[in-house]
Amino acid sequence: MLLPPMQPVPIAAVSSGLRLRIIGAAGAGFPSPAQDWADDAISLIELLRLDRAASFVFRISGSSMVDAGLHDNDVVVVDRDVTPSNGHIVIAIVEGGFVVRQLAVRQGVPFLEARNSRMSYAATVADDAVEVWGVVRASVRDYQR
Amino acid sequence: MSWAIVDVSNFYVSAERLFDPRLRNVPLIVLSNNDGCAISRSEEAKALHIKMGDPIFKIRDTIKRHGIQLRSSNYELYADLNRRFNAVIAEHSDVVEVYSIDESFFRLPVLANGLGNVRGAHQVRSAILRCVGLPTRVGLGPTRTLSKVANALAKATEKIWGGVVDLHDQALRDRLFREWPVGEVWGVGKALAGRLRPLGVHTTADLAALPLTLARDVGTVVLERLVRELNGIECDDFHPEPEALKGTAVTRSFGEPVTDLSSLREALSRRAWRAAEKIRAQQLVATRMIAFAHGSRFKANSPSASRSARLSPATNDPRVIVAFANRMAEAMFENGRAYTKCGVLLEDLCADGVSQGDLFAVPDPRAPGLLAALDGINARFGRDTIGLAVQGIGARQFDTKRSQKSPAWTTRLAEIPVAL
Repeated sequence: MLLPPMQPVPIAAVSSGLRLRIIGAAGAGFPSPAQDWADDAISLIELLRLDRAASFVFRISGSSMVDAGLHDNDVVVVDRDVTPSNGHIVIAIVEGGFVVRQLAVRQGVPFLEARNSRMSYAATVADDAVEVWGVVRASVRDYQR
Repeated sequence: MSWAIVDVSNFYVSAERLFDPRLRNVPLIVLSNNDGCAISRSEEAKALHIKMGDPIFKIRDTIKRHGIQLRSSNYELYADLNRRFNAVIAEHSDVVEVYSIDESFFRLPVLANGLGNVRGAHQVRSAILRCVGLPTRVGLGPTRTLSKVANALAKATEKIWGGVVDLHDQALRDRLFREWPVGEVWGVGKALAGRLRPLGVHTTADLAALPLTLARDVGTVVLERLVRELNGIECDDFHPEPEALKGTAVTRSFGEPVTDLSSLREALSRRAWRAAEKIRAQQLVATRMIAFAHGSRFKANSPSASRSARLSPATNDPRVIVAFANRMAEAMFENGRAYTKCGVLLEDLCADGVSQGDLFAVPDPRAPGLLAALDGINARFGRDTIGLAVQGIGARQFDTKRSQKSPAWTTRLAEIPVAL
């Protein structure tokens, strides 16, 4: 399919803070029949709720959670406004560093557990020495990276 | 409705600790621009007698002896967290007035018994702590001034009263104001406190009891309003916002002394650009511009120069202001001398559009659109995305030193925190 020729972007459109909408070609010819129905671009900010005050972004390093679908270099959205509960994947502070683990409550005791069947990770009891920083709500992976 | 003000405890320190857990429970100082002095201190650092504004070279021994951690100010992070905690407050109140980077006024309904909603204030605090991870305190009162005094009291009594103080109750005000020095009251500076002392005004209670006419005589109508507000009478025109800018200054020390003209010119241009940006953000134009450059104050025979110019017509166009900065840099520079600081002041500001025109100058019709586009691009893609060529590109050795700056954890994808 032939791509339409590049249109110069009016500088005022950038300054107004509006998202750009390029609708058909300017100048000659019939006006685009889609003009009145043009919509904003799909926003991943909305999907991932990144505009909320409690949403933060972390990068995953290593493969401690690979069986739960989190790979090395994935970007995760972390929500601080969610009460951590059994089964949540969380970002926690263990021994002065951030880790990503699944919260599992066993016989009333909360544990932070890795999800990687090929390697063994020590499970941590989520006691007073451990702080759950936030709950992982979404992940983003760039497959070309 | 009552007024409430929330302030973040040791904001910069708390912000640094949110993303670097190793900084928790250890003495920590955040440094001012150019890493010059202490501007935010953890409780552990305060316990080691580090004072607000202490220059680092004076406390180097204490820092070493106690292993105090240092961080440069990370304004990208602080601004983002400020935006976030104000968004949380906005979920609890229709009115949010940002007062400073770590303080905001908001409103809460008064309870049926006429007292402030202490429980509601605690809910705001816990929402900010939960969502943004920042510890705060709240002051409540029938006026902004009383909420500000309540906030100061909440700070002083945090361990006993848990971080919220409500000053709706007259009896409680009477009791607390007797003990609270007048110099601690919002808006009463050192000079004013000095003028009040001969009148027997030492405590907040003394000030609240001052006759209004006397207050006006001693400290103009502003003090009269302050006395009214201390007595629970709201003055609409008593505005907490800093008054409309009379002038603005962008002055900064160099990371390393500058000894060549092109560096000085570039540095001064950057400050001029920033100053123009600041007044444009407030829709103001300047009619006077002053530039200065000087060497170390601690060395004998250091260079010190300044130049001023009238801007006619009044302008906020960076092309005009930077061009002046350039010429002024050339006029001030002396070969073989070392400069440690330079700055640009824009003065006699007035609202854009109401200033006097210039009979002999034709305004550039393209300017408004061009400037709006510039500011739009820089707001969207980061400061200094677009500038004038004379400002140079990228970080320079004479840029402000921020040698111990933590990453922009929340605003740059390449610097987001990593979890293992």
